[in-house]
Amino acid sequence: MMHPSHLSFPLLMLADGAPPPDSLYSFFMIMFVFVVIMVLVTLVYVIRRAMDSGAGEVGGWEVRGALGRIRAVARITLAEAIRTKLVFGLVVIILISIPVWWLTSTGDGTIKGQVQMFVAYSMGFTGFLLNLITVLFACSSLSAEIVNRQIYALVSKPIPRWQIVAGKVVGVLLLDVGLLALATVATYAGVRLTLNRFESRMVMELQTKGQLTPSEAATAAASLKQVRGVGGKGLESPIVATMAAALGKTDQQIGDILLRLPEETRVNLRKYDELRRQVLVSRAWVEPEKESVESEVERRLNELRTGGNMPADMSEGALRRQLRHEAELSSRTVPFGAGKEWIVKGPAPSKDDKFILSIRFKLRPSHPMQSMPSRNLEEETFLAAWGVGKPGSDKFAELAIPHPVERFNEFEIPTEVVEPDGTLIVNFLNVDPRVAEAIFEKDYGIQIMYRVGSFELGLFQAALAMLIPMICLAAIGVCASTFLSPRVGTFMVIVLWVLTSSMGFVADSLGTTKDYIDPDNITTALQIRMKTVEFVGQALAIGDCDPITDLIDGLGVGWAKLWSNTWRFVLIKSGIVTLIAVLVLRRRELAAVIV
Amino acid sequence: MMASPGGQPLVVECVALTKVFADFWGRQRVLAVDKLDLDIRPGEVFGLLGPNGSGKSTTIKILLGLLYPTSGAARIFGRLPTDTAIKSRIGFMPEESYLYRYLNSYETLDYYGRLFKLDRHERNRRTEQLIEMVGLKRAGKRPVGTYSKGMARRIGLAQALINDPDLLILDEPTTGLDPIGTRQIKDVIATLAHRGKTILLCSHLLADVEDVCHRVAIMYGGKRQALDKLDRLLERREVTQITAKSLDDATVRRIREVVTSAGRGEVEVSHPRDRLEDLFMRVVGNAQRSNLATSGADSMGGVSSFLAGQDARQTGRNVVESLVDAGLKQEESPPPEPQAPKSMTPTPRREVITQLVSDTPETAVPSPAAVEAPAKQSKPDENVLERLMKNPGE
Repeated sequence: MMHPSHLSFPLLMLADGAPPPDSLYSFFMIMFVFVVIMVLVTLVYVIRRAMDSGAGEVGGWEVRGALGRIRAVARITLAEAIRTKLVFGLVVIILISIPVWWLTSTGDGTIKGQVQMFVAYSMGFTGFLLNLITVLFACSSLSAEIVNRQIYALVSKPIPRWQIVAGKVVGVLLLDVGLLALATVATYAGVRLTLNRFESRMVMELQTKGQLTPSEAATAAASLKQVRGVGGKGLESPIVATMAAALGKTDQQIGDILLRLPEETRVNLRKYDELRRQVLVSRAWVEPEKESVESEVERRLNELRTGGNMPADMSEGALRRQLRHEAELSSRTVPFGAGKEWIVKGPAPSKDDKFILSIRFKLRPSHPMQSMPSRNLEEETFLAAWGVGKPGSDKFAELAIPHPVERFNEFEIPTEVVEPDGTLIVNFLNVDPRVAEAIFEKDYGIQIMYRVGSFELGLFQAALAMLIPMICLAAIGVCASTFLSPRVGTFMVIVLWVLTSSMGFVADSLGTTKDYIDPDNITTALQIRMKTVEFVGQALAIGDCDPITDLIDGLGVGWAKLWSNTWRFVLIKSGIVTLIAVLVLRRRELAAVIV
Repeated sequence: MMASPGGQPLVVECVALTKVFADFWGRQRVLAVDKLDLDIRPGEVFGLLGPNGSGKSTTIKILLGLLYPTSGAARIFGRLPTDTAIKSRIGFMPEESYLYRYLNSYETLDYYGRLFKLDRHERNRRTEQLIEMVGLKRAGKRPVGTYSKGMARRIGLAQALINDPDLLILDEPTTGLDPIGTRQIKDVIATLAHRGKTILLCSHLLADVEDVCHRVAIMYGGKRQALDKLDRLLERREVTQITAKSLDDATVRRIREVVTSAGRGEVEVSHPRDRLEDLFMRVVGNAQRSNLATSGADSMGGVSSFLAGQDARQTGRNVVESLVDAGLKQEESPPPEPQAPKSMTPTPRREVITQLVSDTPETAVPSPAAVEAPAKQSKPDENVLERLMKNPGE
């Protein structure tokens, strides 16, 4: 077999005289060149079709009466989808799948996991299904009319071509909006149903096992919705306090009642509270400012230089990067017995009852954590003391709880600790007796989460965010359908869509991710590849939020992010694609006979 | 922009119109239309004739802006065919009714009405009348996809008329239609022509053209082979046919004598025969008057009032009237010129056209005269008959 480096490509000869590394000749590089050629051929073809005979629509840019005509075309597009049973089929799939997810989702077995998994599955599946349908439907919208010659009667009517394109895009989107609304409402109903079922089971168990009267049980269950504040485990839990207050009993009496309940129910009581406060809300987050490590790097560099300890086998740039890496790592590492302080500027504290603050963090220990029964510590947990508020002031709160490592943990903090201007001081103290360093995650090491709205708001924003890729796909699909046959267009857009969602993989394959790059040896060929991958990635992107993952963490997409996505992906990108579609449709011969 | 000698602007004008279909690589493959010159004046019913593949449809597609000319130019109302501004004055009935299969007749017409920015009231009025006119009232709520070919053509005609167009372009209008539908299309054409609308009719069915067209162009191989007024193309000056209410034998004998003495040789006197179409019309018309139901297309209730140029305020009454005497109407409404003489059209006319196609290309220059009333179907010369009867000895 021929060694790959015997192959050569003109594109790769751009490398700065030096022979390019072997990875350039990888299979993916060959595929990359192939794809570039395919894209160029497609472009030439599009331009040829667009420039047919040098004629085209005259005028046809008027806006007057546009709304009525766009609506007429959109209605027909939608009516066709409804009458062809496409909509019917989708409604059936959605209405069957959502109850199936509802019945099969268990998550980690708790009420919280169950709800999170259900929401993730039902919204995720709906999103996937609707994206797919958008592609299939949009890609055949105009081309099917051209192939079936319905376009003859349409074009001979006084409707400018841009309105035909707009009508098609709007028609496809109406379908999406309708089905997404249906799925969102069904998902919301599913969540409510789960909660109601849980609450009534709670009432039942409080009666049968907790030996409360029916009215007492109902009051106790209802009081679960009022729980707020931060407490400890067991009797110190705010759940116990709230229930005690509602029933006029002492904490101890409530503790006895709860002890009579099965273990699973007690866990679920806590999980239900977490669900209510951390998942079924719409929250935003702030994080501490990134610390600059440059001064530390300079200091270390000077130290090495003056000490005459500069390593001989390393360029200064490489050394600087090495030092930067070390400084960055040490800035988020807390050794045993040491502490770390963050100052976070968040929203001003609100007197609103619903204002909830919590800290979310992720860390890993420097070595695996064994269990330590004597101190009641399980394996793979980390014990730390957290202090929030100005140390020494009366508004300082402390808590020490072991948290699982290498996953996001979240705990609520009292809202009183926030300064009037929104500043929050967070102290972390590594007190784990197993003596390990605590290394915080590079991004999202620590976040302060606060409530901005209800779950309904979060769900609504998530649905809106899910709509953004659909708008992009609808515009791309309709554009493809102006010059490609339904099948070819569908194939092309699906390829683009798959490529969009696997750009990370593409970047890996082409060796343009940080892990593969030797910053000391960036050749022209590599630069071309990096720029190309970056450009293709940006050109193909159809949205940059992950609304469903956020939703199950109780994170709202937020109006700001929705707006930035809207103008970037809807107004600019979809706008450009739609404009291309209009220009092609204006230029091309609609009754073209390919001999 | 050119104007006809009457001073009115031309409705359709083609100058050296050429269309070549090329393959993917740009190689020329088919010369569909070859230097076609054509002008259609306002109020004219113009027939574009030719065998299959002669370039008729391509010409029409260029006129609609669906194809672009390779060279030469086409103008409609003095503007480019791709100009959106002229589309509101055009009605187009496609060769086959390529309609939305899942819409019913009402929705189809409503949709096209919306594209013309007709308000709801006007849309409903015209939709109702047109569906009535094309006889789809009973099938109107069924999806168009379930229609027979002829019914689909009818709805195709209705959508072409929704805007009361100044120029109606009909591509093979009678294909797939039953004789009633065919007759109705001709009635519509005659009515619209009477109102001064221009009609471009494209067909390979000579019978369509001979009854309604003022002028025809005959195309073959993308070229125009003949262009003239229809009666001039059809007239056989060497034959005279005499028609009268059943004459007694003595009179017939006298006519024979007169004609023979005039040195015209052998004479044939026969009873005129109905053309099959006329007979069919009469029989079905009778059946309709006795209210026999049909699950397919009804025959039509005349021509819609807004197409016949009637005032909107009268329409309510007119619709009722047309419902009452649906069958009778079709005999009343059509054109100002009586249709009866059709039955006497000499049958061998087709030969003439064949001759024209084969050996006399580009025979005549378009008549400079203003447009005349619909063709008078070679009516017998009544004066001749009168003279014959009065002065047998002459």
